[in-house]
Amino acid sequence: MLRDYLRRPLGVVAGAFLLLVVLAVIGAPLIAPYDQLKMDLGHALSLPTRAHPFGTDRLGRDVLSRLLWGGRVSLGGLAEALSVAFAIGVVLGLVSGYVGRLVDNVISRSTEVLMATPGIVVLLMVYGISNNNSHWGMVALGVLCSPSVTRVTRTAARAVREEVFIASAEVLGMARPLIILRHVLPNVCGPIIVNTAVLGAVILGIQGGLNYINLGVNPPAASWGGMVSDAQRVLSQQPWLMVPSGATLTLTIMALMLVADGLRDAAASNRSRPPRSRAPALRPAVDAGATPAEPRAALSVRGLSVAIGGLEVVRNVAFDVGDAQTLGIVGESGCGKTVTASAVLGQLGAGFVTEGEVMFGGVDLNHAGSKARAATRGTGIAYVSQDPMVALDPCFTVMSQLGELVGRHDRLRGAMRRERVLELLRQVGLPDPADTAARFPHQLSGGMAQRVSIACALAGRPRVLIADEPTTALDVTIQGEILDLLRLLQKETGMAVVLITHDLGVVADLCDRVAVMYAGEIVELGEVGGIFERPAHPYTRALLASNPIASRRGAPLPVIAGTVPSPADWPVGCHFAARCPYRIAACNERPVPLETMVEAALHQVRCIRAGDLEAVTGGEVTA
Amino acid sequence: MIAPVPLLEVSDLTVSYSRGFGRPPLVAVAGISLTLGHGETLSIVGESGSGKTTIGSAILGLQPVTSGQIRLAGTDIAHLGRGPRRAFRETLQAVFQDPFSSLDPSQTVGEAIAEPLRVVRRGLPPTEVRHRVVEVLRQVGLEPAALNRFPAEFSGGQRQRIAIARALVLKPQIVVCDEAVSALDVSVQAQVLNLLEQLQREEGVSYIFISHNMAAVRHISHRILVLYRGRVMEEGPAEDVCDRPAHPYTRSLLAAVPVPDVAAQRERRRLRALSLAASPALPATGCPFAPRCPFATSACIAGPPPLTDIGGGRRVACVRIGEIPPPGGQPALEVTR
Repeated sequence: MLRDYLRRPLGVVAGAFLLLVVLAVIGAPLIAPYDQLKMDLGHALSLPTRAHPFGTDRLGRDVLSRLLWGGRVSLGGLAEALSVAFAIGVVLGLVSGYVGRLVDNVISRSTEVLMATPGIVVLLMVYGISNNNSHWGMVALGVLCSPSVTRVTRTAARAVREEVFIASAEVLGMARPLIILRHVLPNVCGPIIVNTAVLGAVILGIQGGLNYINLGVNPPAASWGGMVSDAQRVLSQQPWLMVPSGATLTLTIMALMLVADGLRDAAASNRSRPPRSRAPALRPAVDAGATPAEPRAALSVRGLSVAIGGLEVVRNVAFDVGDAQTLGIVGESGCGKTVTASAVLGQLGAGFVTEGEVMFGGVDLNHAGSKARAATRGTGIAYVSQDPMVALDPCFTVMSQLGELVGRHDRLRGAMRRERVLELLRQVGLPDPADTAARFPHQLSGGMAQRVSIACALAGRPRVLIADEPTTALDVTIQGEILDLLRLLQKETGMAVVLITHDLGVVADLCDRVAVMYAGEIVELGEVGGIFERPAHPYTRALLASNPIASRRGAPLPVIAGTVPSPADWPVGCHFAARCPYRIAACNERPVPLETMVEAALHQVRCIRAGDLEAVTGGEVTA
Repeated sequence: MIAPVPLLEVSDLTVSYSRGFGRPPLVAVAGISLTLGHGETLSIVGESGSGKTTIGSAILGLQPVTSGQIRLAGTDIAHLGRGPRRAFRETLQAVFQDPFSSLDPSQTVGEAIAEPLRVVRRGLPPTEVRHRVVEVLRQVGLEPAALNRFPAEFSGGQRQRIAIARALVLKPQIVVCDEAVSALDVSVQAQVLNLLEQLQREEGVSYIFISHNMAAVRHISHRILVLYRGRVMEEGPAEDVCDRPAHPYTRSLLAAVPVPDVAAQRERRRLRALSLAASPALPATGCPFAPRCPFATSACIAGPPPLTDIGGGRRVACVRIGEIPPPGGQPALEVTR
């Protein structure tokens, strides 16, 4: 987090300023040129001079010296108030967030009572009772400010409490205070530190105000707020006097705020740091445009590459999907299958660079304008996502969401629109469409919600449906029903389906053709039956073999050694080479082209040894 | 393989969650009994809402038990408080699903694995702690260089290995694996399944393997317990349950698993369509599966069916078990290559 913080120039300047102020104030006895109370009436209200760099006040006292000494009151008080606020807030917040239930209720309600207390009245009382004692005032201010720390800590601790490592510590029988200290506290530090800086600024402001009316400070002793008050009395005679004290107070508060901003950003970037490229972004395209786009296909993709921040995450993907055909894109997490789908849909966010052709209805969508793209949305290419609960808006009923789509695509109103919505819901196999239409998404089961989200995709009568892991979030018996539904709908409407999945079984169930992806590339493409019976690429073979469904108890499962390389670590040659049992030196030399194995079945494979391996192993599935 | 005296014996376990004033509590687990022997893997399978995770949590003491007994080596731990439970923490450990939240991001791998030793065996000298940590790290297939790195630097599969190392460092007798391989890719899942089996051979540890993944369950289990809506539907040796399922629910569950073989899957699709009733037919007052069961009759809604022994160590909760036809076609979960 510190390293991230140091990359922010504004934060670094603000931090350096704060450090300077704190060091100067601590060193006041050493560096202050005069005693803060030493009067020199002959030089009263002077502008900055060599002897008095910040000028002098009404009584000829040196302003710089008073600022330094006054800082001890102001910053010292700030430290007192902050410590009290944190001692109370962090302890109560941790206990409340971690223990929960009754304890949480008691602490939260007491915190609310404290927040509802009129702070200024309490402070006036404390100053009154303690005979204007600055320490008691600051302790009271700390108590009054503690609820903000309590609440931030409680929220963060509650989030950490749900993490699995807490359950694991509880299984160990660790004592609760120990769990809080070892596991909860280190993981809530970030938000607490950010909150410190913000609260510091707030307290400094309040304290300045109190000192301005001489609360918590006994003149002639200096304080920053008190000096502002002094300057205000002689504002007409010497306006300059307002500058040193006012600027110090303002700049310190601003610096605290900027440090808080910087810390917050640094903490956030820690969690979502984009990978940085260590390899050149553009590598030789070996098979771009090897074959022109297929004009008869519903969707034809050629040479599709996607890069983010100069780092390629999908390279040179090409496939066709015919009408009434289903193409499966299968691969493990991080292989680029979802990015490929998003690139085809034009739904990648800012920062992504997409190259290549996405031919739909004779138009290259990747290079066409946003109007051509918008015209295909819903009616041309539709999309079904993994989690139907996220895809549906929780604020609206099924009828109103689906009705809006029907209104947009078919320009229907009133009863006609209602009729079309019910027809769509019947089409996706919901037994009681009227009942489903009246419900909100959270009132639907997972399977029903996925059916509704498929109905939404069908509303525009699309030619191509892209389904990204449509059954992964569902129970296995429901998965079967959704796969059957997709098959039935394809039969009825003749739409092309692109199914993205990690499950080879789902591919076998629904797809005609399959593209196997590994580390951003298609490594094998062809008819499903052909690929499952005679997988040509070593990765496809290993993937099929490592599925426990094909195994017997007791015998170890065949595994693929190692892990999938991240995009920054992709080699120049074959991406799978490092894990491949059949690797030879030539595999690492240059990019491997996707070559046709069986002409008739359009079976393509990205392996220079595919031909040899066929001869060596006779197409046996071994790894 | 199964010792005469079970290591863990759960009897008539019921767990219910309060749903606030005026609403009846939600019964997540209703009167479950199970046993686990030394060096045995018992899988608990079922769909979401079946109560399988609740059983695991109840055994681990993370979830209060409403009624029933959990006997660990002869002692009932179901209603023990935090203090007395500590005596069993060396016996019972857990590996959880999410490899991205199962390790504290602020601890190094070495600290995470050493923590159980530091907490449970307070007096152990640091050199011995380190020795044991390195030993267990090697066992799960990681290099000692991993010790000083943070979990964020590891992939999902590697983190799951670290979580397993942490669970095993105390040499527990039972490890509850709650969906321990579900979040992993197929190839990484195979690595972790192999690791779990290897550790069982080396250490004799018993597993309670909670999962919805029938393929993984079939590979790793000795016995399987099939759960539906908090009740046991079927229990028996893994191969029998997977290849000759008796209960209609087990059949539908197995028929729904898609296999990576086009011809086989075409046939399975047919079985899948037959294995579930087209529309809800009966209320779930008796057998919870009755509304979706293609064989349900009025006899099924009279009351919860008893779990009856059908021989060969198998128990089935179905009143029509003698009348329904045997599953047609090929064995329920097999790919022949």
